Amino acid sequence: MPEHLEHETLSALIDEPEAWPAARDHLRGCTACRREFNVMRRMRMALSALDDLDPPEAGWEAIEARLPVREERERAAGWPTLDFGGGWLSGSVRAAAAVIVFAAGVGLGLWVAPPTVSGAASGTRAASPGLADAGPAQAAASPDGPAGATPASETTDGSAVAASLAPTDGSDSSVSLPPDLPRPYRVLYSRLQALRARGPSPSEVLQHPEEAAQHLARLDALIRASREALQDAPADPAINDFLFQVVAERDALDRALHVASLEYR
Amino acid sequence: MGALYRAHAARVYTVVRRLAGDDALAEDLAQDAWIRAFRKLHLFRGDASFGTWMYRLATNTALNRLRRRGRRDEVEQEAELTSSAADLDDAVINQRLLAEALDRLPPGYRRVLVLHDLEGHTHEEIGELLDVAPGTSKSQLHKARARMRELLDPGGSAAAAQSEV
Repeated sequence: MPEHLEHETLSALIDEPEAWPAARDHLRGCTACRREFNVMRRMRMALSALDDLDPPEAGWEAIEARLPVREERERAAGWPTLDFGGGWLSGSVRAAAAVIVFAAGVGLGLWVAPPTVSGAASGTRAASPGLADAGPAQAAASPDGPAGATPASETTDGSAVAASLAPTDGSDSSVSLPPDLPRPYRVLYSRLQALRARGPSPSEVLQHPEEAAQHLARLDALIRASREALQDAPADPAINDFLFQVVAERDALDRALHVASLEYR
Repeated sequence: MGALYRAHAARVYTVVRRLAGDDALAEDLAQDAWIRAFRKLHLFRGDASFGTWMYRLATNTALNRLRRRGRRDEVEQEAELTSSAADLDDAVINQRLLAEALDRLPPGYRRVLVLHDLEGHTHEEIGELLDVAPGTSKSQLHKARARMRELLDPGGSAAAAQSEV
């Protein structure tokens, strides 16, 4: 092979050296082509090692400005000043129905009965004051839990479930929400607070893998429930916001679990 | 939502920026991808991490938009080949020069090179993403690498080869 190899051939040799025997033979005897081959191989390796780029500084603001439900989201963010007398809430029967279904789902998320693990026997940490560390029985008696409630998974009446999930004394010690906030929304956010309070932090994942896995299952249940609710009310700001928070939390925990598994190996 | 954005913004921006070859276009594509993601979040099934789902969505969004832009850009890009690296050995490890050369590739070459060498997709996956045969992806990749080599050291490689004949 008197001619030097084309760069395209050298590129093919990088990926599939066995597929080009004649070119490979030429490479063995040609210093110039071997040099070019090495340069191209280094170029290919350098390309795969390019660093991630920094996104634009105002990237989030620009995206948020383009979101179609921004106004609703802003109203939702201002919980204490929401007009519950006759605005979007009372006019949105479907959204209300979705929220009730969603509240039931939130209950389900906490009521998913993970196998109760004895702290002393399994080496898991002591039960926190959160809602369901000791399972449904204690959850029912907790301040922000449904006193004597029927587990959501066993109920078919969505509104009854929502009512049963509501705080019994009309207040919630774990979150600071306006007193006139509709009950389903109060329940919804207090559930997330309770769930957060009892989930393991990323640094605890390795020490308490069972709790991390259980927490992941609860978050999955919440995601499923909120997704079902969104099918009825796709633009509902509260449910969307809630779903985003839960997905972010699930993703963070998933990453922590992944890192922990790598360290374990 | 802001938390989700902050966690994955760099990865999303990087892949669309590499595919686009242009800052302003990349910013636009990244915004489109995020807005699509928030609208479709209820379709996220949770069987992969959110980051994986978002990466796929961003890649598809960018490729669809870039495909619709047509061949006009390819002509413009061809005309923009200007500066080069004086020393290839330094250039291949210089991220800035590599990134600049990548931006100057014709869009069709750049997409295949980014998807294969930077993002690690197979030719079968690239074929599905770009709606071409795997063999076409392979052929485009080798042309793209050859072009990158020329961009990093125009004339240099030929001269070196000539001197050693």
